[in-house]
Amino acid sequence: MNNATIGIKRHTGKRKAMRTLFILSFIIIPIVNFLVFYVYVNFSSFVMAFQKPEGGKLVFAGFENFEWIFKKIREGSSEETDNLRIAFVNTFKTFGIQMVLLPIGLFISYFIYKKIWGYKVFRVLFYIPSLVSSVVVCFFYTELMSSSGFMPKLLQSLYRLDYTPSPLVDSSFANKMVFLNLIWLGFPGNLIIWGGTFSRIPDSIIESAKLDGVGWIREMFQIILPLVWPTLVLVLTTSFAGLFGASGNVFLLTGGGYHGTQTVANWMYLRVQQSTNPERSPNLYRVSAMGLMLTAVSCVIALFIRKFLTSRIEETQY
Amino acid sequence: MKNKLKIHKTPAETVLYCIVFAVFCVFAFSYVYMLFWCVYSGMRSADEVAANPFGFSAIRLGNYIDVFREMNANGASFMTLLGNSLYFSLLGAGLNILVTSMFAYVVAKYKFFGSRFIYMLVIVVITLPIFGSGSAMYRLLYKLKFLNSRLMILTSLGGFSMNFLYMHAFYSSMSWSYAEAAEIDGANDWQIYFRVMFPQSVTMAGSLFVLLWMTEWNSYGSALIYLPKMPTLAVGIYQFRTQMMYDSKMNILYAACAISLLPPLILFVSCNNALMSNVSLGGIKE
Repeated sequence: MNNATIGIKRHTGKRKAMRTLFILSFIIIPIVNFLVFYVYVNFSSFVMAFQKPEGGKLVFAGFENFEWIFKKIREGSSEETDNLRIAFVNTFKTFGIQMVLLPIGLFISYFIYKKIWGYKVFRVLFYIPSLVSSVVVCFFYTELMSSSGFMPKLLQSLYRLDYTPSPLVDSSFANKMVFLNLIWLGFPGNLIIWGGTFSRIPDSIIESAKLDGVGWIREMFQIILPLVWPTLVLVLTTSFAGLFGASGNVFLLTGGGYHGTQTVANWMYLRVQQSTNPERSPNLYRVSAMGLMLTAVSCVIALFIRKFLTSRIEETQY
Repeated sequence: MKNKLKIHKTPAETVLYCIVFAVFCVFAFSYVYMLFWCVYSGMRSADEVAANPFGFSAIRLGNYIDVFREMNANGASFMTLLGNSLYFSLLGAGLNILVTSMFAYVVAKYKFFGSRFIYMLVIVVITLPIFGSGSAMYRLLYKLKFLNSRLMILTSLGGFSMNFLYMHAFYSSMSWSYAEAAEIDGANDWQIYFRVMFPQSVTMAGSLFVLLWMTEWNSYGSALIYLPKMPTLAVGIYQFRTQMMYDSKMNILYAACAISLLPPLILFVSCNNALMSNVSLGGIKE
C-alpha cells in the first residue's frame, strides 16, 4: 500500500481533524507565498501595464505604455539603452546562440557519460562557470578584453586594423564579444540535468547495442536520444518559453546595453534597477507592458513547440 | 560483482574521441586559468596588477587578510557582506528546500481536495513564461518595506519550483510501508514525516540544497535590485569594483573574488558524484 487514504474511513473524527491540520500545516506556507509573490505580483503587473504615475499618483494610461514600446521598436531611440529595435535583434541572436549551444551541451554530457579520458576531471571543471559568480567571471573576461589582455591585439591582426580596438566599448566588436562570452561560458551546457538523465539509462541497453555492432552515431541518435527525448522536450520547451529572457552577461560586460549590446531582458532589468520610487518611475509601468506582450507571445510559442516536439517521437518506456 | 562488457573503440571513434578530448582540454584549461588568475592576482600588489594584470610578480598572502579590513561596499565591510551572503543563501536555501520538501510530500502521499490541482499548477507555473513581473515585485516589496531588509528571506518560502517536481517524484516512489509501521507504533503524521520519511530523503534534499545554495551564493541580479544597501558578497564585489574608479585596489578585489569562489568550489568538488546522480529531470522511466 502506498497511499495514506487507505484506511482513512477507520479514523475517528479527532484523527481526521488532526490529519487535516497536518496537511494544512504543510501546505499553508507555500500556498500563501504563491498567492502573494506570484498571483498578486503577476496580477499587479498586468494592471501596471495600463497605468502611469502622474503627480505622485497612479492614473489609468490606456495603451500609452504599449504605444511607447512600439514606437521604440519601430523607430529605435537616440538614447542607446532605450533602443528596443536593437534590443530585440540582439535577443534573437542571443537565443539563436543558446539554441546552438544546447545540442553541444548534450554531446558534451554524452561524451562524459561515455567516459572519455579524464571524464571525472572534466565533469568538475566544466561546472566551474556555474560555480563562480558571473560578477567574478566578467571581471576576468573584461581584463582579457582590456589593453593588457590578448583579445585587442588578436582582433587587430584578424581584422587588419591600424589601431588596437577596445572590444567591449567599440560598437563594431562589443556585441561579438558578449556573444563570445556566452559561448565560452555556455559550452558545457547543463551537466547536472543531462548527467543525471544519462546516468539513469540502463547499461544493458547500451551493451546489447554494442554487441549488435552499433556505432556511436547510431547509439547517440537512435538509442540515447529517444530515451532522453522527454527531458529534451522539457528543456526545449522551457528554452523557447524563455526566448525573450535571452541576454548573456550584457549588464556586467558593457555596463548595461551600451555600444549596441542592449537586449530586451537587460532593458527590463535596468529599468527596474534604476527605479527608486514606484509612484514616480514611468519606466516600471513600461516594463510591465513589455512583460505582458512578451508573456503572451512566449506562451503561444511554448505551446506550439511542445505540441510539435511531442508529436515527433513516441515516448520510450523501459 | 557486476561484469562490465569491454568493447574496443573503432579507429574512427578513437579519432573522434581524440578531437573531443582536445576541445575539452582547451575549455577546461580556460576555466582553470580563470580561477588561477583570480587567486593569483589576489596575491599581487595593487601597482603590479594595474600595470600588467596577466603578468607574474612576487606574491603577498597578506592581501587575503587585508580584504577583511580594506574592502567596503556601500558602507558594508567584508564581514558584513559575508554575513549577508550566508544569511540569504544558507537560510534562504535551507528554508526553501524544507518548505518544498514538506509541500511535495503532502501532495504526493495524501489525497486531499485540490492535491492533483496543486501538482498541475506547479507544472504550469514552471513552464509558463512570465516576463516583466520584476516591476510589480519591486513595487510590492517597496510597499511591504522588504527592500534592504532581512525580511526578504520570506520570498524564499515558495514551493512552486522545479525542486517540487524532484521531491514529488522522490516521495511518490517511496514505499508507504515505513509510514504504516510507524503509525502502528503510535506515531502521528508529523512524527512520521520528520522521523521516518524526511530522513530517507536527505540525500535528495541535500543535493537540491547544495545546488540552490550555490545559485543563491553567486546570485547578484535580484540582490542588486532589492538589497543594494544590504549587499551580499557577489553584489558587494560588483559595487566595490564600480566605486573603485579613482582608488585602485584591484588586488583586494581579486582576493575577495577568490574567497567568494572557494566555498562552492570545495563543496562541488567534494560531492559532485552525489549531485550528478541524485538530480535528474523527469522523462526516463526506471
